[in-house]
Amino acid sequence: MPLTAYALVGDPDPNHRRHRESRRFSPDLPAGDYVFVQDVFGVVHVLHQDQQPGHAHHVVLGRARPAVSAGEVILGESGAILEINNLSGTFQCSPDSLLVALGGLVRQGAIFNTDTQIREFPS
Amino acid sequence: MTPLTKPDRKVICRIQLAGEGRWVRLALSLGGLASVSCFLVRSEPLLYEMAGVDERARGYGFSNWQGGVISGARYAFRALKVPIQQVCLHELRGQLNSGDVWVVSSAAALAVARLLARPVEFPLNLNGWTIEERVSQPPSAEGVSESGKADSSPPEPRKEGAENNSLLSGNTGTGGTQDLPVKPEVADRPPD
Repeated sequence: MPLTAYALVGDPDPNHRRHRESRRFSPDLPAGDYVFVQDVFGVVHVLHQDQQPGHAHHVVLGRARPAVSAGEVILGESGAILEINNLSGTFQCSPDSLLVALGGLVRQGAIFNTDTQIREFPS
Repeated sequence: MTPLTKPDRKVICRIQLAGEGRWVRLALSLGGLASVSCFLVRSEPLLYEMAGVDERARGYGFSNWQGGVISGARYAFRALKVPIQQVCLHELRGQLNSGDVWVVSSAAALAVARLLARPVEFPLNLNGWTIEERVSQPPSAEGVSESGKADSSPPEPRKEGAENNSLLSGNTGTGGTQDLPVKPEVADRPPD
């Protein structure tokens, strides 16, 4: 499947720096609500919602770097994905971008099970 | 008996944030859970008139500012741990810099919290901008269309206080993330 690189729509200012708490996803992350952005190399980066309240996706990668997927993810323990969606005002990625995110997360150690909610929102 | 309000009329929350000579006003209502497949929809008519203050912002279109609405609304649902509902945008006006998308986001988060009749118990960045808010029924079919004529100046604070309307002004001080000291005054909401 060809990947689509999404430029920032909301807040495309290249002066925004990457948030210092932005992290590559790993199963060691504490449970909680995160936003995620997958860069064009397929790596999924996350930022806890509490670290950047409200408007957050633009600082996950920073510098207006494009993404192949972006949205919200709720993590459980040990890398379990409880919920994921493609809601991002900054990138407004299409629903099929979630497939790319799922692949990236699995590669980085995420665990999906039958209880994982995958919610698609039309862009 | 003639009902004074059509039962299908939605409650609209209008939030205005102003600071540093710039301002934004947006009005939102919520849809049902069943219609959540599309998170953000535009009302018809939509009052849209955004003016960019700096060069970059002058190049921004609806999609750019809409990004702030989506960001703020989704954040409010998540922070309040409320299932996502569809959000309908009725009005988006203002004069902002390119770096002010966060202001739109904060206004949207405030509006969603008010529409859910929930106190703003989540951190929100306001950077000292002042808040005015009003919760009301939508106006009758006298709205201005997307390309319509709208007053581009920030409106004066309204003083009327109808039963279902609330209008709050508050300066939340300077600094970064902060809890809002304002109290929602939506009808049927228990006191904080």
